[in-house]
Amino acid sequence: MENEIRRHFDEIIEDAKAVLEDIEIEQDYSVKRALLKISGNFGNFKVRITEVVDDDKRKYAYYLINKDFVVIGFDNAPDIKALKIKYGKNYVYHLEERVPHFHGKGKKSTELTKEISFKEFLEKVKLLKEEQQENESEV
Amino acid sequence: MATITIKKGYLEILKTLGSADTIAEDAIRKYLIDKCVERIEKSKRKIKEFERKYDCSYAEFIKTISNGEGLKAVEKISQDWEGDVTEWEYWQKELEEWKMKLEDILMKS
Repeated sequence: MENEIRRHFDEIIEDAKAVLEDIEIEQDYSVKRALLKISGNFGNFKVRITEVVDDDKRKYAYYLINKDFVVIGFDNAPDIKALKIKYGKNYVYHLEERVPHFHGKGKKSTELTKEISFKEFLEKVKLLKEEQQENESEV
Repeated sequence: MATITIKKGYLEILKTLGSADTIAEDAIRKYLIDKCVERIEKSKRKIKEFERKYDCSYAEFIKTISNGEGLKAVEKISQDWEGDVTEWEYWQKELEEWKMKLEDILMKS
């Protein structure tokens, strides 16, 4: 299993290196699980990612940050904002459940999503940059 | 019992020091204890960083993020706490498992 995880993490690192600057990488491989942390600059923004593969389960948090504020973020942490969308009042019975979701600017919005990969996150980030550039050129 | 292969030269020297099997087993045991301690120390160090950042234990943090007010307070410290909780859980699990492994080795001796 470790080789499979290493290959998976290597792919993420390769994709990150192709897009981010001043990249910092931290990895840890243990018996049952492995951890990957990457941070790097994307233009004026910061990308921070954490991914854990634990007994075949993938836990991730991919964030685009402007100073200390979230621009966009995808993760599958047990976040009550996402749990409330999924379960309504019954969210209290699912507090430890991991739910893939998205956070918008300043975390003012939350939407449920499918599980996303780092590649997909990067695509969203690039798209966001293109939209911003278009808006700036229109102004 | 499993069989392991070691260099003939090492075996010759081991034999001069006593029972090669016992010495090899002691050496492996010592190596495993060192590795367990190393992992436990690393896990503790990483956990401490999160405890300092959020001023609470992992269990308290999980309780805090399970209610709206608590979550707001956490997001004032770090809006992208999700990466932290993912890593924090990782080191908590590592700490527990390596402690158990160490206990297991020490109990068997």
